[in-house]
Amino acid sequence: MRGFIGEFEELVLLTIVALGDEAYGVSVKENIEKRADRSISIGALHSTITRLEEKGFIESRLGGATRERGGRKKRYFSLTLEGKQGLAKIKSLRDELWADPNAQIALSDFI
Amino acid sequence: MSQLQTPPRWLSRFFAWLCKPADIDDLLGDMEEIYRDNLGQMSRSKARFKYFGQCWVLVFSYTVKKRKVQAAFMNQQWSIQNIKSMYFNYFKMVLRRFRTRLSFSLINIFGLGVGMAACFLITLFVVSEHSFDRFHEDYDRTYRLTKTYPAGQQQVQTAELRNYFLPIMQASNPAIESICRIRDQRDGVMVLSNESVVVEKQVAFAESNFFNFFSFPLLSGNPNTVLNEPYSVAISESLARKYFGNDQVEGQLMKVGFPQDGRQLDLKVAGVFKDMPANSHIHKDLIISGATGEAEAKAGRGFRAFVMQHNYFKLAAEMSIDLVNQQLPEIEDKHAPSFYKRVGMHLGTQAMADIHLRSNMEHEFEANSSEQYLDLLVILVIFILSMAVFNYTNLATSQSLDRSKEVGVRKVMGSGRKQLIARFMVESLIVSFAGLLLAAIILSLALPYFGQLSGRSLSFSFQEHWRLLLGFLGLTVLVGLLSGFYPALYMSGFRPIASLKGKLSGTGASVKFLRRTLVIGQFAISAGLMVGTAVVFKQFNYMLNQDLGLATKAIINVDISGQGANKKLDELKQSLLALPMVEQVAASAKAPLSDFDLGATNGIYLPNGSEAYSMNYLRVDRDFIGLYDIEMLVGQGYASFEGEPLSGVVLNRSAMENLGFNLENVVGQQVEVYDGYHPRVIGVTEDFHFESLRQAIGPVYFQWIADRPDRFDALSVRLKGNDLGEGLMAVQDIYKQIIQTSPFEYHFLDDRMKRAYENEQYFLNTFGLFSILAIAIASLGALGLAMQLAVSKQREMGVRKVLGAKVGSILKLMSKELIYMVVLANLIAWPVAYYFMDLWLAEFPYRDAIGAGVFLFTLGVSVLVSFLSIGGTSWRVAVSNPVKSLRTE
Repeated sequence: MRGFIGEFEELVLLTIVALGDEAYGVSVKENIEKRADRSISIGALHSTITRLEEKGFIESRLGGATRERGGRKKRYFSLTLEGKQGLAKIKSLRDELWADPNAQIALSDFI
Repeated sequence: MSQLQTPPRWLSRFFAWLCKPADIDDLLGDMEEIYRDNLGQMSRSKARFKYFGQCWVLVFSYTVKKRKVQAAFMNQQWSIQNIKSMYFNYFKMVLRRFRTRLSFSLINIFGLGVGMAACFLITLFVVSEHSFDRFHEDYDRTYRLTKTYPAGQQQVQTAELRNYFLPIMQASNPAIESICRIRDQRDGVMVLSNESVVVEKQVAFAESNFFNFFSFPLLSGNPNTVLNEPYSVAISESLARKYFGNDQVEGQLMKVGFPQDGRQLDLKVAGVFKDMPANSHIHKDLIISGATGEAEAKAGRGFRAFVMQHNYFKLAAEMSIDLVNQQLPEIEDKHAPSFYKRVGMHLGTQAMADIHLRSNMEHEFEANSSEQYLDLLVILVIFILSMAVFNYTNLATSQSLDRSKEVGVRKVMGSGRKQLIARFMVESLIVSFAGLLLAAIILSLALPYFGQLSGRSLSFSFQEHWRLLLGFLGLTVLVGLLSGFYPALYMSGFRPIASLKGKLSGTGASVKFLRRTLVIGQFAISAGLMVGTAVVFKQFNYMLNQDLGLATKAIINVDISGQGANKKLDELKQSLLALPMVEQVAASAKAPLSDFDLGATNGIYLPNGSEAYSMNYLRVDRDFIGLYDIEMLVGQGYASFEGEPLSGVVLNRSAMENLGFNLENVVGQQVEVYDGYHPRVIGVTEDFHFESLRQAIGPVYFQWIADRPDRFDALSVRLKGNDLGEGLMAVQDIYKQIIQTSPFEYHFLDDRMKRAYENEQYFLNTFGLFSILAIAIASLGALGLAMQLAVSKQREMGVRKVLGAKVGSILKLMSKELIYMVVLANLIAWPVAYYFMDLWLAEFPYRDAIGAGVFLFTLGVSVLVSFLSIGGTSWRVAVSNPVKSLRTE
C-alpha cells in the first residue's frame, strides 16, 4: 500500500515542502486553496495528513502557540526521506510520460 | 482580547469531550485560527456556523479516530491483549485466594449455592403454579359458574351446581359463546374384566364438545364427535396402555361399575386423549359422554344428583364478564329452586385462570393452592438469598486487612480505582458462579424431594424452561454484583501508602456499623422464621390433639359405597358385631373428617315456615352417636328412640341456638326439614368437630333413616383390645366374605386426622426447611466472622493470656459481641413475627395462643446455634499457646 500517492496527497506533500518551516494545518489549507483555487474542508485535510503520516511520508512536531489560536499549539509537518523519495518517484514517472513524443505533440498546445 | 473573537466555548469543549482521549489541541487551534480569519470576512453567526461544521466533520474524521486509538494505546487501557492478561491475572488471584482462604470461600460458595438453589426451586414452583390452565386456548375468556351460600358464620362457595342454568343463560345472552358442563364422578368407577376389578378414581361425564372447549389434544378420535354417542368414553393415553397395551383402542369395549349404585355399563372407547398436563385443575382418565347420563335417565334409572355439575362457559371475543354477572339475579329469580332465596344462595362466576390460585371451593375436582402461599415462599426465598449476599459482604470486608497489600501494590503499579473495583467484582462473580454450580447440583438432587415436601411434582426441562435458565444466569450475575459491590467500593478506596505499611486506612466505624447491621439482619430473619415455624408447629399439634368432641381412637372407617355394598348393611353389621374384637358398628352417610354431604336441600325451618336456616345434616343409624361418644346435653339419641324414622331429629348445640331454642324447651319442638317432613327434636348433643379444625363448628342436625341403607356410604367400626392390626384383619375377612364385588377400602380415623391437616403439614415443612436454611447460612456467616476475628485478635489474646487471663474470660471476650447482636436481632424480629403469625392464626377458628414459650425457644436456639458456630474457633484461641501467637510478627 505504501508508495502510492494520490493526487490530493501529492498536492499536500508538495505544499508542505513549499511552506518549509511554516507548514501546519491552517497554512497548508490556505495555501492549497489559494493556489489550486478550490475549497477544502479541514476534516478532509487532516484526514489526508494523518494517512500520509501513517504511510511514513511526513512527520510532525508540536510547537508555536500563538494568541490568535487561543494559545493552542501548532502541529508542524515536514517530509520524511520516504516522502521526498515518493515525490521524486512520481515526478520522474510524470517527466517520463511528458517526454514521450506522442504526449508532447498532443499536449503542446496546452503547455 | 474580547470574548467575541473566540469561537463558542461550549462547542469547543463539547468537541474536546467527544474526542476524548485523543490529543486534539492542534485541531482546536487550527479551527480557532480559521474562525478568526472568517470573522473578518463574514458575519459572526456564519463564522460560528462554519466552526460548528468543522467540529462536526472532524469528530467523524479519520484523524480523530486514529488519534483516539493512539491515545488509548498510550494509556494502556484499550488494548485487548492488556485487558486479557489483566483479567487473567484477576482470575488467577481469585483462585489463589480460594486456595489460601479455603474455609471462607467455601462458606461463601455454600451460602450462595444453597440460597440460589432455594431460589431456583421456588421460582420453578411459582412459575409452574402460575401456569395452571394457561395452556388452554381462550383460557382468558373461559369462566365457570359458581354458587355461594351462608352456612353458619361462613360463606360457602361451591363449584358444583344445577346444570340447567347455563343453557338458559346462553340462549338469552350473546356474551356467552359456548358452554361445557362436566359431571364429576367423584367415587370413580370400577373397570371390570374377567380377571380383575380395578378402581379408577379420575372419572367424569362431559358434554360432547368437551375436547373442543378445552385444549386437551386427542391422540385418536374426532374431537367433534368423540363424545356424541351415549355409552361412549374417551380415555387417557396411560389408561389405554394400562388396559389395552397400546393406544389404538378405538371401538374397544370397557365394562365399568359405578360404586354409588352398583350399576354396570358397557362403554365403547371412542377416543384417546393425551394425559392431562400437571398444570391443569382437571386430571381425568375417563371422560364418559354426557349423553350416557341422559340415556340412563330416559331408561328410568338416572344417576343420583346427576344435575349437580361443573358449568364452564366461554365469553364471546371482546365481551366483558359483567354482561354475564348482570344476568345472574334475573336467572336466580326466574329459574332457581325456591330454597335458593330462602337460604340465601347466589350464583357467581369465576375465571378459569383463577381457579388454581384464587379459590378453594367445595366440590373442586382437586384441592387448589393459594396465591398467599406463593407470595410467602417468594418472601422467604428473598430472605435466604439476601442472607447469603450479606455473608459475602461481611466476610469480604472483614478480610480487608490482608487485601490491603494487594490493593496497595496494584495502585502503585498504576491501577485505577475502576480497575480495582473490576478486580473485586470478578472475585464476587466467580464466587457466585461457583454458587450457581453448587445450586445446580443441589437442585438436581433435591427436585424430587421438594415435590414430596410440597405435595407437587416439579420437573425441569431445557426446552420448557430456557427463559428461566436465562433468568437464573442473570440472577447469578446480579447476586455477584450485589454481594461484591460494597466490598469492591470499600477496598478499592484504600490509600496505597497506608495499606503497604500494613495499616488500614479505613477500618472505620462505617464498615463496622454495616457489618453489625448485616449480622443483626441475618439473625433477625432467622429468628423470625423460627418463631414462624414454632407457631405453625404448635398450631399443627394443637389441631391434632384437640378434643374433637367425638372419639377417634381405634375406629376404622370402611367405605361401603362401592357396588351397592350398603345393601347388605344389616348382614355386615351383625357379622362384625359377632367378632370379639369389635365393640360397636355404626353406619352414616359420611365418615368424620370428610366434607358434609350437602344435598340439594339443606334447610331447616321453623314450623310456621317463616324462618329458614341452612345447616349441614348427617344421615346416621341408631348406633352412630353412641359409637363416637358424642355427648348428649339433653334428650336422647337414636339408640333407644321408639318413633318412626324421620320423625325425630337430634341437633347439636349450635343448631339449637341458631333455631332460637334452649336446653329447657328444645325437646319436643317441631321443625320442618326438606321434603315436607316435620320431625320433632328428640335430643341435643354438645358441639363436635365433624370436619377439620379449620372449619368452625356450624349448626348440624342428625337424621335417622333406618329404611334406606343405600343412603349410607360409610361404616364405622370401633375396635376393642390392644391389637388393632388383628382387629383390622378380622374386619377385612368378614367384609370380603359378605361383599365380594367391591374392594375393602378403609382408614383409621386418627390417621385421617393427620392427613386432614396436609396443608398445615406442607406449611410446616416449608417454614421449617427455610428456617433451617436461614439459620445455617447465618451461623456460617457468624463462623466466618469469628474465624476472622480470631486471626486478627490472636496477638491480643496472647498478651492477655500471658498477663493471666483465664480461658473462660477469653471465650467471653470472643463471643460477647455476637451474642449481644443475636439477642438484639431477636428483639427486633419478635414483634414483626408476632404480627404476621397472628394474622396467619386468625384464619383458624380454633387456635393455640402464640405464647411466650415460642419466643424463649427462639432466643435459646439462636443463642445456642451462634455460640456453637463460633465456639470452636473461640475455644481454639482461648486454649492456644500464647508463645505461638506472640512469636508471629
